[in-house]
Amino acid sequence: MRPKPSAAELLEIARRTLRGDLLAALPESRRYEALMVANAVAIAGRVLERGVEPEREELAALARLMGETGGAIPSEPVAVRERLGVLYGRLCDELRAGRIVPETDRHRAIFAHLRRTALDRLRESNPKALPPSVA
Amino acid sequence: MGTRRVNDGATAIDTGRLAAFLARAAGATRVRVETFEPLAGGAIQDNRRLAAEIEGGPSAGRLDAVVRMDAPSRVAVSHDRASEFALLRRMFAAGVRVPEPLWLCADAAVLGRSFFIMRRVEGEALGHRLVKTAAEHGFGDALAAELGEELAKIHAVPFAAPELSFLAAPSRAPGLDRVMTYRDFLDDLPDPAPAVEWGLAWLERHAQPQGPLALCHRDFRTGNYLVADGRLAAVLDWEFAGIGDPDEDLGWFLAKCWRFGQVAREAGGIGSRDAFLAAYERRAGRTVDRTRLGYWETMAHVRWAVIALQQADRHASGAEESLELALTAHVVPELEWEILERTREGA
Repeated sequence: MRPKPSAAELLEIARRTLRGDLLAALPESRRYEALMVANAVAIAGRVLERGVEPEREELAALARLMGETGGAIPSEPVAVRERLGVLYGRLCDELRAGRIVPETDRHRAIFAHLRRTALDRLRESNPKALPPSVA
Repeated sequence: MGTRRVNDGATAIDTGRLAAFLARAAGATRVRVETFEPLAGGAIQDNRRLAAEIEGGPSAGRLDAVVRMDAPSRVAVSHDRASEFALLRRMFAAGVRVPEPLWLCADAAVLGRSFFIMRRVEGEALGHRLVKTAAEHGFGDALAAELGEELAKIHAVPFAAPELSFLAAPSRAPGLDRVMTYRDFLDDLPDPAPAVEWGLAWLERHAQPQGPLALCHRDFRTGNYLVADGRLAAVLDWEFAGIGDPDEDLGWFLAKCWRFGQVAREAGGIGSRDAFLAAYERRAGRTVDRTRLGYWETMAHVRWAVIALQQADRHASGAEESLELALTAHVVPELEWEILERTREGA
């Protein structure tokens, strides 16, 4: 059993320490960098907290959209990313070729998937920018 | 010519060589370099503050300048220093508010990379600070109008001049030209970007027929101009300039992604859309089609997303280790969201 605090909790207290006394003690010229470090730590903390599940769900939804039924969704983050890369590569080819035609069900389904995914990434990368309706 | 070594990360820069170059370029008898230090800002170029004392020759006296050199890893599409220098000279001669270009050095033996020197202009460029001061002091609309007028001046500069022959005109409608270019950029990145491709497919379907072309700045936005006492002091960062649809510049300036948190101030986070456009239209002597403008604002979000992905990859690929570049990856979801919002089609 790993010791408490957890990795996410460690990042959180590291970020708070940096944003507190430490930031105030830094010269003006280095404050921006310190804020960037705090932001990087915050993003990493949110991603860690949410784990591999969001990307697995994304992959499951994308596989359905791309007609890949059957076949288990991997649990290894690296394998999930690799599979996402392959399927999104195919989707991008279809988009470029003009094969995703407006006013069709597929166009609507892909739009909905991309929106859901963008929102999910926004939750991790910049939750302050979430639209008020979903924040 | 006192020789001092300035620690420049991996390489030490010999200011003695810089002083020797300055003496030659300025026709001086002696040059003493007093300050040569990094200037904040610019993820792409490396800018240094230069203070020197020039003795003899036509430029004798104090030199307060900025040295602009290539960053260690370069975005392939940005102009090299020689081209940017030529552009600055053309703009300066045309009366556009830019820092006065002084000397160009293509000899890598001097600073390790090519560079040019321009006179330093006093002022604030940082977007976040600027939008705050504009709101507090109430000069936002006046500044937006000045910017609109300045952009019209830029668009009126003839681009057929021989010294600007490196500027290529698009071979098809400018919107389609941009779409093809950004697809090429995406092809050089390791991961697919489906939301950006979605936006590009929309931009291809909705491309506008070609109108009159103009010399476009292509990075005209808050953060890339200097303001002193509430007035526009200089337009900076000419490295992406090219020949294109002038509405592209207007869309880039007005796009939501360049408002630095002041979303309601649609002109660069500082003033109103109307103040900016009215001044532009007055000076340019043409009416801007608002529908076309919406197209170019969508293009702006797509373009910034592509650039952000490129910048993030500069870090991720190991080409240039940088926290700022690494974090740029995380502005992409916000851009993707905006692209999708703008490209709903009966969805």
